[in-house]
Amino acid sequence: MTVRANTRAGGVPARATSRPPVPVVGLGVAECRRLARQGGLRNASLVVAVLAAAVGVAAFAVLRYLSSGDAASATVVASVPVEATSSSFALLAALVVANWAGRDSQRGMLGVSVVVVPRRTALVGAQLGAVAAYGLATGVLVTGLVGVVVLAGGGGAGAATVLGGVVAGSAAAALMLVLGYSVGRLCGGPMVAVLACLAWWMIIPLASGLASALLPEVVAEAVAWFVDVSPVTLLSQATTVSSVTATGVGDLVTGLVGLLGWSALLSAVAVRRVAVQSF
Amino acid sequence: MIEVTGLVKRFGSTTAVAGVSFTARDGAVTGFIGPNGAGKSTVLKAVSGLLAPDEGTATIDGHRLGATALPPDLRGVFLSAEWIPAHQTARSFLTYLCQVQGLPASRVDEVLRSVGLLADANRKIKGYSLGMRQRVGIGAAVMTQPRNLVLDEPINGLDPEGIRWIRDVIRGVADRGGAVLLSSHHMSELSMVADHVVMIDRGRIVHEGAVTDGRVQGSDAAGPRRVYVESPDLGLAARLLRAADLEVRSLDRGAIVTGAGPEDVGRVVFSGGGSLSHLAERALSIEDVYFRRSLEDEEAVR
Repeated sequence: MTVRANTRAGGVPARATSRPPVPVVGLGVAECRRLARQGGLRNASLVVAVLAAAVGVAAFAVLRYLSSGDAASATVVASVPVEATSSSFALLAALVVANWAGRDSQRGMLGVSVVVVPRRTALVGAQLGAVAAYGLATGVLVTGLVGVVVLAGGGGAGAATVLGGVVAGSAAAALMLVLGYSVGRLCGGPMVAVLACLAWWMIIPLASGLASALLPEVVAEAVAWFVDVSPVTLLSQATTVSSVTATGVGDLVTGLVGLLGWSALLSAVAVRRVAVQSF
Repeated sequence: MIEVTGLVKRFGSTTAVAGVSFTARDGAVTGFIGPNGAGKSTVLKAVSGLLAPDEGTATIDGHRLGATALPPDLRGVFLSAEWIPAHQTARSFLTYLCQVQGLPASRVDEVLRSVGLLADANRKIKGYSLGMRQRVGIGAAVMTQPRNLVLDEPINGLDPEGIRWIRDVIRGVADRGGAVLLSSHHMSELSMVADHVVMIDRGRIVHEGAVTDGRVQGSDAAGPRRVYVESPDLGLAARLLRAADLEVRSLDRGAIVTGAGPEDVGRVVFSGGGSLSHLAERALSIEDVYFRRSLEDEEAVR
């Protein structure tokens, strides 16, 4: 090891003037860059994006083959591939983020971050903002790409629907990634975080739905409500642009607001958890 | 200045740190020693803002670490190479630290060059040796050119050149007027850089003293005083000292007298008609202090 000329004799760097702490926006930008670098979400989100795009393109190919050519059919051909892309991307990317945040907590990077940025609330707030921005940007890219494929492949009748699907799907993806981040922070380990997400989002709602037929009516109603407000159901509502023509934007908005509520709640708990956490 | 006052930390029913108070002064390197499980890491984490004490305070230049925005160069911290994320490269890790602390991007290469890892900067850290991970961690700690340093076992795994480098870094921060709190089990290294030593055991401070030429001054708390004597008639001097209930043990051309200071040893020998050609208080090394305390603890247990 060699101490170079940029340091004073003996390897001691020259004193710098005291610089102010980085503002929250600057922290958010730094966190965004970390997500996009080696060790962040870059590789995993690329894999997820390719998978989700493949699902969308495959759905488009099948639907176009089966299409009867009328207006209703054209809307389905234009919207369902984008819906399938955005919902599969949001779900898989949220699991990836939960895994990443859990690993980040367990292997100490969060500890290092807390040492250099002692304002823990600002730090976690910046990380939440970065994850949301990353989800939004990658969501726009992957659903937009499938949207372009759909439009170029003869789905031109549904351009507005495709655009709506890209916007709603990307927003839903951003909220799901925030949810995944919060679960990862709360669980404190990658495997636990992924299992918790799978249980909460898929296994419990599915099992509850199946079991409700065997339950008394009052209990079954409560179970149905629980399934209705589960994140995956809300995600499905938030990305289903194909129903907008028939039923309006009510379901779509309900889904997005529901996801926003879950994200806000879990984010607040995660911020609180990190604020008092000992390392 | 790093100031710890009345620090108490409990984990469930276990009290890890019980009312620890000490000061790491500006312009000095304070060695922080103690056996495993003594509470060193808990104190260092409290000083670094990684855990909140149940009672007491830990401040750096008067700042309590927590929600308040602080200048990034207030302190540099290295607690363990295990904290460095293995799945990142050294460059991406240091780049992130640069960005969240508002440092220019050029600082990354400067730090990598200074720790000798520029050529390995784009390799994942999980492929690094312990010494390389230590260098990344110490580089991260000093990248803001901090006024104060908190280091836990920084020389583990370092090669001799690396040890000399970290010694210079530590000495440099102190020479610039900053405080360095340095925990290490390498007593010989501590002897070379520490100006002051604080020993903790079972969550309490059991010894504090200045270090001069590798010797701990004011060692009363660590055991009885010891004096080295030489005499033209060592046998007579030894008999006189033993008659005064002092312990005498031969060493080289002289003897170590335990249980009295040089003034008393000289008085006993001269008043008995003996003579001395050499008389000097034998201060304890940091290692002596460490092992003496450990021995006393073992005897207390027996």
